[in-house]
Amino acid sequence: MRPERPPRTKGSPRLDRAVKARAETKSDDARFDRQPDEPLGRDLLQNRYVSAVMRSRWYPGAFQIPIAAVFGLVAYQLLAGPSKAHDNAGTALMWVLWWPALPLLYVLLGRFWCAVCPFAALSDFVQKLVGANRPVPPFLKKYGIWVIDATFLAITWADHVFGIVGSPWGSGILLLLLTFSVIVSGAFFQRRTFCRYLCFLGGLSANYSRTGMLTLRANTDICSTCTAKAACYNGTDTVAACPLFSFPRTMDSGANCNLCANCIKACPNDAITLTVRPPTKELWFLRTPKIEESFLAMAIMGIVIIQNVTMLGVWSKMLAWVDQTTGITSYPVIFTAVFAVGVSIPVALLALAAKVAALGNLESTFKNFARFGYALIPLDVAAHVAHNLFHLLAEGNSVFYTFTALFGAHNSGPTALVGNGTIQVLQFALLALGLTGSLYTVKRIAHRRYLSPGRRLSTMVPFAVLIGVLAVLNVAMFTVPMTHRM
Amino acid sequence: MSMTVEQVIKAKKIQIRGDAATWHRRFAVASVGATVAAAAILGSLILTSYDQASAAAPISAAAVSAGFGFDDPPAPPNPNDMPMDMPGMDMGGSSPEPTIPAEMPPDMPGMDMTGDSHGASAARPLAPVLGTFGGATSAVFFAAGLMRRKDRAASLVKKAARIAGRAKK
Repeated sequence: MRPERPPRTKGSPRLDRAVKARAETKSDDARFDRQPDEPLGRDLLQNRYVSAVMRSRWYPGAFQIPIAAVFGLVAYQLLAGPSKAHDNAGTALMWVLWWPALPLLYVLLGRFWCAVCPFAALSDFVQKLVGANRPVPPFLKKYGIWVIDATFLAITWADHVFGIVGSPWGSGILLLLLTFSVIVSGAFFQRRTFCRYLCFLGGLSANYSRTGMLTLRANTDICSTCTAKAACYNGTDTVAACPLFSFPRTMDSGANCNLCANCIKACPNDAITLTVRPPTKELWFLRTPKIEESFLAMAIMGIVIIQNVTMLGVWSKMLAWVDQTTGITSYPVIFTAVFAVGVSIPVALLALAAKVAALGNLESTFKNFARFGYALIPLDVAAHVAHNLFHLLAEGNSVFYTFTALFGAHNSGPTALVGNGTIQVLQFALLALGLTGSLYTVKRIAHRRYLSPGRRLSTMVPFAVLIGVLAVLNVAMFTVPMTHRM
Repeated sequence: MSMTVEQVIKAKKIQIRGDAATWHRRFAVASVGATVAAAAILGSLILTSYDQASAAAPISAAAVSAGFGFDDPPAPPNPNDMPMDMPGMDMGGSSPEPTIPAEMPPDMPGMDMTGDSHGASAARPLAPVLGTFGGATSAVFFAAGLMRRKDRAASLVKKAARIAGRAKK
């Protein structure tokens, strides 16, 4: 028999609590709206050398050309070079050097990579040649980030099932598919639609660059008097429009700015600033959180955990156990199940933490999920870098061996740059930094959002526990020996 | 009311400029399309002949799937089920090493017996993949070029109509 509900009469404790909660939420909402935006540091464009580089007509082209040349070499090696990953310079350059360096680059320079990415250059070239310049479809504008989430998961799944990273041919096919997607996007749609709405790396970089130390903003005081008809967004006769569809005047995040400097060149009032800030600072001042971006943060955490698990010795034991228990020997089937569970676990844990926090801060679970998912990004980046640091430091010499082999030199020897002990110490140090960054971000978001200590504490505790659990899980995995990529 | 002389000249100039741009564009699209298509066809032909010359065995579905890391490759036959004298199946336990004749230089092209697999492998269907990529790219270029041409024509018509409308006023 169901217990009877207490009657909703005036003065009942339940109603009092609800009224109090509504009043608290209203006052917190009003206070949150009045909170200042992220304060900007010293403008690097005041330095004449930095200013000269950013305003130069050779920027970012001077970086794009050599990078495109290396990209061409990588593509050639992957498609027509040695078939064993161990001997292939393309695999070494792509998966041992570039892929681990990428998240580090995002933390240091924001989305700078996107400005010099060869795919972006290809998109611009195709657009100039045959571009139909159709507007971005509304579907992409609305669900683009979900497409990115799905693509990222699909590529990671395909990597394990078809062996993309371990097979130069598989990596080559992936590059060709990406190249074709870029060509299609550049041929039909405006600006860099692919980079903004479809590129899985773009999604990753948008998330990670929120922790970036370099950011571009506009001085809104100057912008309010501007008569240049949004030259920073639309471009001018000599400068192209913003490739990522960002309007500096209203931009409050570095997620969709690739530091291409088009707006710096186009602005007639010198209103654009380029500032250095502490890592993760942008996350503390988040105003409009999006659930899909929080989901991506958690999916990345799941992907890193899966990447770690499948490279541990315990993975083969797990496969043997599944084989014995269920009789299933098909690797794709087993991996698909593990992958689904692995990605779902962090998402489910965040949902659980959001649910618990919602009981205390009286906001919806969705809002909590969306807002505090961002706090996991520092730990995400740290776990990602720590995982790839192993490949970079334990296999780094293979880049030298395979690259010099292209010129006929036969170098061989140990692939490790440093010992396993050093790598582990660095991994733990990175995880400690990520853990600190995430916990501090939770604190900053909660303090900015809620006024009363009770609401703050009841919000912070579940997310702090979640962050702790994920950090411990990562530490445990990094204590076990891992297999190499090459 | 008819257009003034200046307006007619202006409209004609726009049309001429538009025509010139359209022809320039057509030429660029056609030449790029032709280059990509030619590269795709030539590349396919060259690589096909290369594959045929270098591949030790024809590409099988099993080889392709193994290259992709698919599970469930065809299981090798159980040696116990085979007749002992099956041709080509020496099960005597001896495994003769490949020998390099003394007069042959050890780095003779094509005679790498170390087991390393340098160069294009037979398991990589490079020619059809690049052919498909080139063909699809050409198709995209062609379609985008057509759309651009159509858009430009529509915009020119609009411009002309606007000028004509102004002239009427």
